[in-house]
Amino acid sequence: MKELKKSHILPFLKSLDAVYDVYLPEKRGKDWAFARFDSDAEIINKKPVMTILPPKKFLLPHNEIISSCESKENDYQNKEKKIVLFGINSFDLHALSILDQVMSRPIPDANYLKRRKNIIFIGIGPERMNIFHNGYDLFLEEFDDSFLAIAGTPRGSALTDNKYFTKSSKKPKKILSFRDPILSQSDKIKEAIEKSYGSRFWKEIAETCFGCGICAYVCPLCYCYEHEDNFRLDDCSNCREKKWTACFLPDFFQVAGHNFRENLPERIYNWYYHKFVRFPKEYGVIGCVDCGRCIEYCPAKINFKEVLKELISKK
Amino acid sequence: MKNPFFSQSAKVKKNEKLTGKTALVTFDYEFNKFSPGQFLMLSISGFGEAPFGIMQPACENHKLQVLVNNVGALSDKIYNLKKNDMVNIRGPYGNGFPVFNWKNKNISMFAGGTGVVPIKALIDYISLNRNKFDDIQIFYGAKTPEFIFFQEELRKCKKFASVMLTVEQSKEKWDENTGLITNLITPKTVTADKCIAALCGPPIMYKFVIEKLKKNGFENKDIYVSLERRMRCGIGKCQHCTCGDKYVCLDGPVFSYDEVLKMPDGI
Repeated sequence: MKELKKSHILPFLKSLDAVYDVYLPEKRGKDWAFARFDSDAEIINKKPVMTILPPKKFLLPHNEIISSCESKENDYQNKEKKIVLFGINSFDLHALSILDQVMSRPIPDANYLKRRKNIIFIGIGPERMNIFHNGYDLFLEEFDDSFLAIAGTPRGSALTDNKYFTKSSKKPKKILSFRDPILSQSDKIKEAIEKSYGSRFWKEIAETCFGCGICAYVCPLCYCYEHEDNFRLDDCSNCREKKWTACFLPDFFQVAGHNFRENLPERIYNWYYHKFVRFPKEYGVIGCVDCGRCIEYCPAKINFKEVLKELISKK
Repeated sequence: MKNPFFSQSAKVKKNEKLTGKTALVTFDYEFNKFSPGQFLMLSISGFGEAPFGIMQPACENHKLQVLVNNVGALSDKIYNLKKNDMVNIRGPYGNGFPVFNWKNKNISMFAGGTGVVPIKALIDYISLNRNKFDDIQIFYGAKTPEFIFFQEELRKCKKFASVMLTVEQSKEKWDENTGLITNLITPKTVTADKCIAALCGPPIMYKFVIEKLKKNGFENKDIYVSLERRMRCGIGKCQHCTCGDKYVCLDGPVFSYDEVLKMPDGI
């Protein structure tokens, strides 16, 4: 195994920055957001933090061009420089491993998978938590004055060939498994949600919920999108872009002459149904890693765990 | 790896206006393999992309046809397409009617308004494989006679099927029925014995037609409906077409009524 002295993190990042576009969490007011690494930086955050938007913004970028009238290529071409995302927390790594499943089957999303190959993920934390399928290329596990480098992939392992890594006799810590007790009752939640279709319960939630969709935007496992045709000024061509959207928005289920989920309670129900019923049926896990972003950023202060607790208790 | 959103270009062969708002557009394009009930994504750059039912009738040399109702920016553009104009096409998507399981069955088809498209594709399939099926019935209802599309083709169908048309109201002379499509379903006209029902139309039609069919002894598993939803990706990712734990674009758009009943908001 190899380790990286805490004092070597900054020079290590600088050496990465020479080859890759390096992004890491940067303080924005009281929050954090991914930003380009500043090579003049003198201090760097070495703790796992919860950025406002999860790393999905690099994998499923808003405004991604999915087809262009100029392009006659069947293959999706990624001409971007390789990216390193540094300082990803365990929640987001867990989400990433699930998102990989979603984008791989039943029909693979080539654009996602190519981007995934283009990005190197470096996780950080006192220990790894709930990371079942790896998801990271390299994980820096914190010890007193150094980080133990745990490689998840060959390219992560290759990064430790860097001169700042030294041989270590430390052993990786046990992977922690933690889940909020409410989320461990996934069968109960599923049953309660299925039973509650059309009930007053969701109407009551809708009285507080603004239907703004923030929870979906900040969720590392919400990935719905809209297609939109746009005109690009740089090469004067029409292109189709993938835009982030949210299933809470009124026109999400609209077709000509009919809206299949016209009312907010139906759309709120659909969000819970997706995360806790459809997701487990499709991928065997719930669509939530308990990162807490949706609770933190909800303008109506709705806590989905409280909602689930209440729902389960209403039998 | 292939970009799932890559479209092929297709040239317009002809554009026939059926009513003041509806057009039947034929393209110099064909899917080598498709099953009746499947759909494609048709787009015009700058105006968007939308799903359309696939028809490739033998009388048009199996060239692709779509029926378009001029209601929005994209459909207006398609409605006004001229010969040799180009569009983009990707597909076919979804699951059509399971015709291979219907050998030696009687087939009763029910279409409402522009929902006739997948039913027309099914009729085209049956007309080419007539000996595989027993009795064929076609029920088709619309608001007024001008909204009964494919009238000439339907007349030809009378050679091998019973065709019953109905309109809600008619100002001009109309030799067929007047009233709702449900009025045509009686224990005498539609019997459940080794019969499959295939439906496509507005949700309200499903409700009442299925009610009648059940009264006539049909089992849920023998009733097939084609569901409409907003579809964007066609590959089960974008979440717009979800229906319970199913994706209409992947698992549908054709479902047995058995499956629909399991969805909280199917019909």
